[in-house]
Formats: sequence, structure tokens, C-alpha cells
Amino acid sequence: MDKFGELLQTSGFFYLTPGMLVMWLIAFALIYLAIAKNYEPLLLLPIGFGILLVNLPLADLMKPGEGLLWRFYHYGLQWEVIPPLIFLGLGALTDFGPVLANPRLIFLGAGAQGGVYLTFFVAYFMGFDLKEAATIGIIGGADGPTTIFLATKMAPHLLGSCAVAAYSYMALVPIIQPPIMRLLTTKKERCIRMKKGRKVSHLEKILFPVVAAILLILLVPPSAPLMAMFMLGNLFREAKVVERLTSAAQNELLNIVTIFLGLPVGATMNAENFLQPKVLFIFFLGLFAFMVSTATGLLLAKLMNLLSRDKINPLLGAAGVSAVPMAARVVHKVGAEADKKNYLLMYAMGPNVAGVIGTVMAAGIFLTLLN
Amino acid sequence: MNQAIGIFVVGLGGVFVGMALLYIAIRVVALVVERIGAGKEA
Repeated sequence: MDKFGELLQTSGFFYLTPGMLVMWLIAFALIYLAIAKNYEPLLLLPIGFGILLVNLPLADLMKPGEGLLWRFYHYGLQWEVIPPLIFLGLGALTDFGPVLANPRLIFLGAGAQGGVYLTFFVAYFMGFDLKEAATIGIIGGADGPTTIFLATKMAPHLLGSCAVAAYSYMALVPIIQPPIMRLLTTKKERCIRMKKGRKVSHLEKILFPVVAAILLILLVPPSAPLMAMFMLGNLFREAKVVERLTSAAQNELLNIVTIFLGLPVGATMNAENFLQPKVLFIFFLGLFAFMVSTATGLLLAKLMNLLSRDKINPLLGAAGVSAVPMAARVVHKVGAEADKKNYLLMYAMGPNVAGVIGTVMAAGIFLTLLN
Repeated sequence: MNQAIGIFVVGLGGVFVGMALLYIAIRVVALVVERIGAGKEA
């Protein structure tokens, strides 16, 4: 009987704490949302499982220097390997055609960064330090890998909560955005039909990633890891001479690194780190950032309409958050409710991909100013 | 607080400057490609 007692004392069961059990519930909730509700399953499923694993006592999967998940975290995230590789895949999947056909829509990708900076300001006002506030603000960009990239460098202790907030709200874009879109636009504005963009040549599509990489990396050097890989992936796609590399970046590589992204992010969320009042604030501020980003994008589109003869459907401003392609689909859906023959999807992809660039720039500017 | 205000203004302004640069680049590239195309046709 004594031996059984000893065995029990060396098992993890003996060291379970109420906090760990709460984290199990959070892990189960994320796994449930991913499987049953299909909410960002590619990320929320491994994140949920990572949360579960790190809250199993004595497993030491996040023990510095030894734990398996710690190695994924250290070599994948702290070494800045995984987010740039994700961006390589995203670049290979991105078509810049809609931006090149209607270049002025690129500004909507900047307008939607208003939520990032306003939330940064509010978070700082609420007592977070500048680096924490920047990490929370970037959630408003609706770009998971960029949020993870910035959090790893600025506030690693907030990585898990910010990543979960970002991916959760990205999954909720169809619920969060439409009420704001209807509130800030009239039916007449939602019915505006976009003028067909010009035809974009193949040469322009090849030149764009090269020129954009040069300009943006020179302007904001700390954005280089993400921007460089994003544009390289896009160059693979548009060059049309490296089909195997394009396919690998879009499929195998992206899938593999997604696994190694989600697990360690979840594994940063142990009970000690996560069960704090400030995590609630992070989720609240993340939602605020998303809503403000949507609103500032819409308002910028309306402002551009005041200054231009060719009217833009202001709904396109909401696609400036970079949840690709969900935000563009939502724009199309809300536009079609007002005028079912108004086909906005292709136009909305312009600000949508511009939003990705805008968020990476915003992260790079935070790194420039705060490091 | 002053530092936060500075980051807010410079940050948002910086993103717009970046987009403006891209906008100009897209326009210039389109123009150059068009000229090259016209030159070839001629």
C-alpha cells in the first residue's frame, strides 16, 4: 500500500492544481470550437491541445532547454523561424491583382490600422507598459502570425493570450463586422457599384513583390523577416517558373509550420501566466481593436469618397483588416444584402491583402520605436 | 504619455507613408510596363 502511495506521489495527479483544471476547461473549449464549430481549426486545435499539455504537471514539456514544446517555442518562435515561413506560404497564396487594378484601395489597408494604434493607446492608458500595449494593439490587425511575431519580441508572457484572442476574433469576423458596417454606412452607400479596375499585366505582377520588398523593407527594416518572405512567396507564385516551390510553400510547408506554430503558442499558456485579470482586459481590448479597425477602414473609405469623383463602396474599408479572405467575404455578403447584383468580393480582396502589408508595417514600426 | 502619443502619431502616419510609397510604385511600374508594351508594338 505504501508503494502505491509513493507511486501516486510521483505521478502528475498528485500535483494537479485548480488553476490547471481551469486551463483544461479552456483547452477543451478551444478544441470543441475548432472541431464542432469550425472556428479557425488549423490554429485553435493545436493551440487548445498545447494548452492541455502544458497544464499536465511533471510533464515538463515547456521546461527550458529540455521540454519538447519548449524546443518548438525556442527554435520556432524565439528564433523567428515559423512566422516568416507562414508568410512565405501566405505570399504564395496571395493575388495582388485586385490591388494593382485599383491601387487607391491600398490606402484602406492603412486606414484599418487605426484600430491597432488606438488600442495601443487605450491599453497603455489602462496600465499596460508600452511593449505590452503594442502587442495588444496589433490584435486589431487581424493577422495571427504578425501578432505572434510581435508578441514573441515584445511581450512573450502575453503571447498565448494575444494569439488566442487574435485567432478567436478572426473566426468571429462574420459576427463582429456586419453590425459596424451597417451602422456606419447608409443603404445607398452599400449599393455603390465599383468601377471595373484596369487590366494588370503579368510583368506588373512579377515586379510588384520585388519593388514592394525593396521599398517597405527600406522604410521599416524590422518588418523585413515577414515582408521579405511574404514577397518571396508571391514572387514564386507570379513568376510561374517554380511551380514546385509555389506548391510546397502553399501546401506542405504551410501545413507543417502551422502545426509547429499552434502547439508552442498554446504551451505558453500555463495556469500561472494565463489566469490573471489582465488576460480578460486583453480579450476585451482585442475585441475593441477589431471593431475600431473595421470602423476606421469604413470611415477612411467615406473620406476618400468626399475627395474623389469615382466613388468607392465604403464597405470595402472593412476588408482592410487582414483576416484574409474572411473579411472580404463578409464585405461581399453585406454588400449583396443591399444589392444582390453588386459583386464586391474581387474588389474587397484589394484592401484585404493591403491590410496584411499594413499590419506587418505597423508591427515593424512598433519594433523600430520600442526596441 | 507623451511617448505613447508620439508612437500613435508616427506609427499611423508611417503606415500611410508606406502605402503612399507603394501606390506611387504601382503607378510608376504600370506606366513603365505600358510604355515598354507600346514600344514593342511600334
